[in-house]
Amino acid sequence: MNRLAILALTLLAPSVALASYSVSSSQWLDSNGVTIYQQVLVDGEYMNCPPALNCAIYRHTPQVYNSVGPNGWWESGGGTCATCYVSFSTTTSYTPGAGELVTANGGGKIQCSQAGTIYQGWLPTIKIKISIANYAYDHNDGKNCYYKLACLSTQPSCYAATWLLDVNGVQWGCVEQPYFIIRTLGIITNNSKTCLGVGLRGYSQVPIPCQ
Amino acid sequence: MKLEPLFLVVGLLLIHWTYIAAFPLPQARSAPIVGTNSQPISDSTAYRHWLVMVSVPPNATAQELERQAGHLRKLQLSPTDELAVKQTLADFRSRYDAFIAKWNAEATAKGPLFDRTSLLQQREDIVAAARTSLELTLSQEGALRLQTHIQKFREQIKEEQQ
Repeated sequence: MNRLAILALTLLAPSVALASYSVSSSQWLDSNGVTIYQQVLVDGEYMNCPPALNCAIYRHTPQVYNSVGPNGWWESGGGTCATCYVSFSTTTSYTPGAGELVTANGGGKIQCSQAGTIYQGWLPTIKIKISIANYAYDHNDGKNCYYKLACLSTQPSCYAATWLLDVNGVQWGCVEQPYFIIRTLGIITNNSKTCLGVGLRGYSQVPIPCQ
Repeated sequence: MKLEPLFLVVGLLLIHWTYIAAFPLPQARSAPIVGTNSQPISDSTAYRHWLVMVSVPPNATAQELERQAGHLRKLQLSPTDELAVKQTLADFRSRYDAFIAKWNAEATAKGPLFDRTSLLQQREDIVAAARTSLELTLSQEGALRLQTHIQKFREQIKEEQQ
């Protein structure tokens, strides 16, 4: 009866949405620049519970699918009342090999104890690559340090300028810091490629191969 | 007696079809239980998702703090700006958690009489207050970095009414 009533009431109000949820994802790198993290969030509410349904007896459970590379699964949040507000997120991580192109997916759904899945939203599949640009100290003008992109056979996945200027670097001793590494997250969708600065840039005593 | 629910459903469907015949929708649309109706992402939704993702509870674990640090590294803010963002995030989180607690308490207590209108406005106000706080406390460069970041983040949000 309940499933039939929900179906009927859904059909009764074709122009009135019952659920309003949104799902989002965001990626970042750990502080060492080697592990990719992804957080997926589902947030929103069940808008209209028709009085005839007696929604007080139903439970809604948020679920998030979060995958980065081979690590991915559905995770459930706590069950709430049907008209309760839902805000649930999970985080997944993966450490790729050098130059590895990683596939990431994210989605969310709301399971109703009586009606099954009442909401399901998927984000477009993305591919992620850690881009590394290795700069080697070249010279200074007595004030600023100049580093030059120094890659062997593999170039950075994301754009990297040929020269890097470390303003007032001489006073900090750029000569003693022979390498400067910039890590970027390249995010590739069906339509575009975006390179996200992930705030990981710093001096290094040793070169890191570009990728 | 066992047929009563079926009669109810058939009756409701007849009312529905009569209504549709009298007031046709602008375009034909099937009505699945789970359908899709993606919509453009508003500024408020984009900021809300970012604020919820990046904020941490008052008793945050080391893992939650690392998550927040990872999100904030992407902005490459000055230490002063980063501190300002963290303060706004902490304030937002406590208000948002209180909002959800109030929503759920009212939804549970009032059942079918629950009116979500004023609470939805509260949600908008909480996000708007956080945005104002960010605008007032961040440097010009920091505010620009955040704004640019949110615009990119918007592409990774999907909002649907089903």
